[in-house]
Amino acid sequence: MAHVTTRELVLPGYRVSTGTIRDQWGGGASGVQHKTVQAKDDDPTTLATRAGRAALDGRTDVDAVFFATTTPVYEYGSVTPFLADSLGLDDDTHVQTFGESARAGTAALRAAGNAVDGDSDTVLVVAAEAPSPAPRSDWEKVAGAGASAALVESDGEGLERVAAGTCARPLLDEWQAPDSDTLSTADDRFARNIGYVETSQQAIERALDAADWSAESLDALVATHPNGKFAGRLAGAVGVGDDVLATPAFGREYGNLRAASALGSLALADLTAGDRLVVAGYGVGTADALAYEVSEPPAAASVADESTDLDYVDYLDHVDQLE
Amino acid sequence: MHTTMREFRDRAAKFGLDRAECTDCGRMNDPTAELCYHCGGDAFEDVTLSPRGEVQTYVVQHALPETFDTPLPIAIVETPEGGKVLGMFTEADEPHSVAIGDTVTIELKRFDRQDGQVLYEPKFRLDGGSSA
Ligand SMILES: [Zn+2]
Repeated sequence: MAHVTTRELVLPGYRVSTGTIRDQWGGGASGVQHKTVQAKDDDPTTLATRAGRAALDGRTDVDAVFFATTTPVYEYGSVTPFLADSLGLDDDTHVQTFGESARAGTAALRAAGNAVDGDSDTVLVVAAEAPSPAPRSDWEKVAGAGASAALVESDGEGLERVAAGTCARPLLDEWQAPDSDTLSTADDRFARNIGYVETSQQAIERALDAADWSAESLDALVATHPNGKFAGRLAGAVGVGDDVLATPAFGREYGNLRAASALGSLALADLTAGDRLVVAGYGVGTADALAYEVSEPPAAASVADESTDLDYVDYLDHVDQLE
Repeated sequence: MHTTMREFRDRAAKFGLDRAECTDCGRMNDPTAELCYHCGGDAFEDVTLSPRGEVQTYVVQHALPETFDTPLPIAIVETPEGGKVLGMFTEADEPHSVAIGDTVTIELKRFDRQDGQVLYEPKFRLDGGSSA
């Protein structure tokens, strides 16, 4: 049975307030107060290396590395072998890259669980984002940087996977064409409700059904935080109280970390032995939900409080958007 | 040399921090060394340096191509195994806060672009400095 034995979150030491961005361009509030920003010499690979190194803590007995990002360094070409090598792993380590949408992180986590129930013993899952959103875009107001990681093992104490649920709908609520440098968003309330809230809810309820758990018996819900508001709405739709939603302020404080969001929220969740936990990830019409029983909470990641606030021009320099 | 082959060839020393320790004089060599640079010995033990160490010496660069933020300190750091690493400080650190004897963490960071490829380098981050 698959166990999550470590959990990590790495946040770069910079942030920008969304008020600073709104002062430039106007627009309404998304519930995100600050978003984390990469250092100028960081990208998804460097952030993933830090998170992966922390999750491994010196171990090299890893069969596979699954790397999730929606902000890949190359259009064509994989950095995952480079990531594995940088983590001190041999070239007989199986590597796989997940992308396409913010669900990539939990898709990798689910695949890692399946792998350790099959031909692998230990799989490192790393998710990282270092976005470079177009100035004045909606995406600019929420896109945050960071990396999260988890070690998934066939044996060991931690989070024991009990069941999984999924929901995949042909709902393109966010998209970016190859010839466009701007993310488009169906920002009407209908698309958002059918998308993030209902699709995540479906996956969660299917995982609960498969585990034979009621929503009332759930102790912790970890979700993707696309902004500062949606995760709270999702908790309401699932029928769990505010105390069950782990890290409710994740989106408000760090922004939308996409593939790294749900795993990052998991890294900070307050868990107790015996808890029933669901980890849900959503992206572009698709959601995965994984039900875990906590046999022993893996040490929670500590996020450094020290963070430098950037003004708008410095922020643009950090995300490589300064002309 | 073409970027692809150079990055592939150099990576064990650069990112893995792999070294060959001379069994005669005990000093560190590049992992591909056939003879010890220091004593000419030809027997080695494989060593992987820890990604941390102490600043032995440094220089603050003020004139660099415009893709770099200056002033930018470059240092030689000695790891607990006695290996030396030459590299830049990460741009996350305050350039004037570096001093000999400071302890640093060695991290993978972006360095430059060449032939459309992103190049990485091990860089130094002051312990207790910015978390980036
Ligand atoms: Zn020698």
